[in-house]
Amino acid sequence: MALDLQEYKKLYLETSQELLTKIQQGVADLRENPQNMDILSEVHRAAHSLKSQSLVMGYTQLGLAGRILEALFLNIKETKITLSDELMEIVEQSLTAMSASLTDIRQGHGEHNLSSYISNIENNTEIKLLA
Amino acid sequence: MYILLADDDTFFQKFYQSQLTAKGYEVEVAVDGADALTKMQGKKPDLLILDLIMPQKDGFDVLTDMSQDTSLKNIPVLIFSTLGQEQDVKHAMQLGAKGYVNKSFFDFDSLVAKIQEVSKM
Repeated sequence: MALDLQEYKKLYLETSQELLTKIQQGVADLRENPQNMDILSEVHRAAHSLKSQSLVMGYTQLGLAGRILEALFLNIKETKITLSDELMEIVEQSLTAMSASLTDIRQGHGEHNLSSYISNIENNTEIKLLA
Repeated sequence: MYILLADDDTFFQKFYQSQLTAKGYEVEVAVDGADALTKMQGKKPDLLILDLIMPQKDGFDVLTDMSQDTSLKNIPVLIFSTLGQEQDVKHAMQLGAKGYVNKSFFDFDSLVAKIQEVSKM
């Protein structure tokens, strides 16, 4: 059945921005409390939702960026990865790029290519998006 | 058919509730796992569609609790999975889920077929 996703675009733009803001705030809070499980659980869930919403709306780059953040936060929760200052900066840069992409979508443009940010996270962790 | 949809994501709550309601299903939303368990103690759904990553109680907690409750353990469960959750789905199936669909790749005909299949198990 063909589905007109346009009727859900406004809802997506609202909820995805809320999720992105929640992740940005959570990451800022992690600078003070890097092992706080409540914060890590919240940003993990938010990245999971952002990934899922973006993929169903056809915004693949945002979906893949959400996917690698979801995997990253899960690995930090499970103490397989430490959130170093360098990795924190990479995550914050990625979130800024994702926010800019959402802004452009809101203004009627296409999403941005986020592959360099995704690769940057992959190259600084052992996470492989398509593994 | 009465479906309980357990997902903490506002977007997916509205997206799937509207799509399924338009096709004649009675759909109620639970906002997390704990809410799903509470709602199922009232009206029993013919099918539970269950996200796995949720606050309060996650999908695995819900499946575990349902398996230990004689009034809930026979309610069929369809898992809402997404990209990268292959291991989660495997775990959920081991805990008693009857099937799964990828909620991020919307195909209504496939979803309805899966609902029919799982609800008859």
